Amino acid sequence: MKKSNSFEFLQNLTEKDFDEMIKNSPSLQKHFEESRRIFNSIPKEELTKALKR
Amino acid sequence: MEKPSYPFKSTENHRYYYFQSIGKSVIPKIVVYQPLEGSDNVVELAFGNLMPNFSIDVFAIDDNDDMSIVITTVIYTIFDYLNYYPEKKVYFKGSTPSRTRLYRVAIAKMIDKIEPIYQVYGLISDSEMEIFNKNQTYIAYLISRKNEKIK
Repeated sequence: MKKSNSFEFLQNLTEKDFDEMIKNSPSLQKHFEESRRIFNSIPKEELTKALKR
Repeated sequence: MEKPSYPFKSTENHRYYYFQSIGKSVIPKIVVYQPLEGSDNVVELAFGNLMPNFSIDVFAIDDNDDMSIVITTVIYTIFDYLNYYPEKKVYFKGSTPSRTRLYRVAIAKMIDKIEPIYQVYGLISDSEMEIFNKNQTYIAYLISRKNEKIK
């Protein structure tokens, strides 16, 4: 059985496998929540400057 | 001088990138690109260690002493991602203040090289964004391609 830290193992994973990984990752979810909270607090005018480019 | 980085690969649709951190141990790192809810073109990025229980831990600390190389590698995945999705904007922050600072250091080192191609914004606070300034502390970043057409 290939070691889960080997590149070969990673290359054999599908996007569905990675999708499952995300569901299984509480620290990742928490990080995304915090990250989103910060993004959503940016005033619209500030965002528009950056997103319109 | 270009910072060293690890070779990386991605899944077919480039929503996930992966590479190995090599030092005292070999640690698989996973970079996740996820659409930001409520925004058409913004994706958010996070990365972490692939754990034995098949989860991604964004707070994991390891002994490889290569976080600056890891961070540089993550940034290079952004450029690759934007090559495939030139209309997207990638939003990210570190999972810790230290990692957020390392992003600034890595971007500052390469900014002269990438500035013709990529627009980098830094979020100074919850309410103020500016074009990246290497002498400014930021809490998050936004990177996009200046020219959306792939050359």
